[in-house]
Amino acid sequence: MDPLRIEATVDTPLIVLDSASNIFEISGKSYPEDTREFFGPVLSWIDLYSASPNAQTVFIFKLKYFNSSSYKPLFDILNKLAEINKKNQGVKVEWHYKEGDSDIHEAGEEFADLVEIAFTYHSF
Amino acid sequence: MVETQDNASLLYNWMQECEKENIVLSFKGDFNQDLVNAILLLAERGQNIQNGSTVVRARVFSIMVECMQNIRKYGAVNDGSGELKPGIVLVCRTTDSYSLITGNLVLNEEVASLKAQIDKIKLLNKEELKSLHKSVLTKTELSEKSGAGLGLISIARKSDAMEYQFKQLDDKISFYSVNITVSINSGT
Repeated sequence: MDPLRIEATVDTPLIVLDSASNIFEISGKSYPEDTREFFGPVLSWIDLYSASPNAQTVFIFKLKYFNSSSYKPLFDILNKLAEINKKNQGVKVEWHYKEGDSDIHEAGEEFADLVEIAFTYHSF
Repeated sequence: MVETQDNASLLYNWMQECEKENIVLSFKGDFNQDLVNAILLLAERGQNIQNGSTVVRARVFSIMVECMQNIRKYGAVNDGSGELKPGIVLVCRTTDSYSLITGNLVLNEEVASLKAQIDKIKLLNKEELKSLHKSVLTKTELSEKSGAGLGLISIARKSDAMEYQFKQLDDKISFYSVNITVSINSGT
């Protein structure tokens, strides 16, 4: 399937979803005014991907910052990944946070509590 | 038209006031997302905000985003255009804390529910806020405009104190101001 790449802007993250290269990444800052509009294509892409996912999907979140209205779409993404994981047990989340940013680290742990996916944590 | 000399005293007094109140960043105007981004860039690059720990800086930044986006979402307008949301934002830095103070217009009819929401949040400790955050996030139905109240909960989770005031301006509009404090030692 076609990869989805959305370049980062001042208030939206870089999105790279590429099943052929096996790269799945959301990185940067996320605080657009309309998070649903921004994440809409991401969610649609994952819906399509879930029909025939790779055996292994390592999904990288590397967010420096995200606002409260980004929580829900991020949670939606994780729920979709959890559905894939239920089918093939091949999904992992790499949760990256800026060294010292205990809030982003904790946000990852809180997401991990809510979905059936293994998380690993990495500081950058 | 104001005399040049009056301008000088006005500006000088304002500058002195900023010094006295430890205001490191101030802006008054109509809020849109471009403006929010511009203010955030200033805040990120400004030395006065940079010299805190990573988590404190992130909290200040984060609360600024939530507060300014709240002005965009909930702020009332006084010209009927529906687009321009007037507001004021101040960032103060003392030796032991940051304060973010914002002011904007709200409709009188929304004052009671806003007060009730903030009062409810203020009663909760960090653990209770964490569970509330989780339960709001996992609810499937979200109110369209509110962004599920996660904004207010996030502000409370990331701050050490939150005080508000309302000042009724006329039979339609009130001025709402909120002062949010982040201690320099928070998160340690």
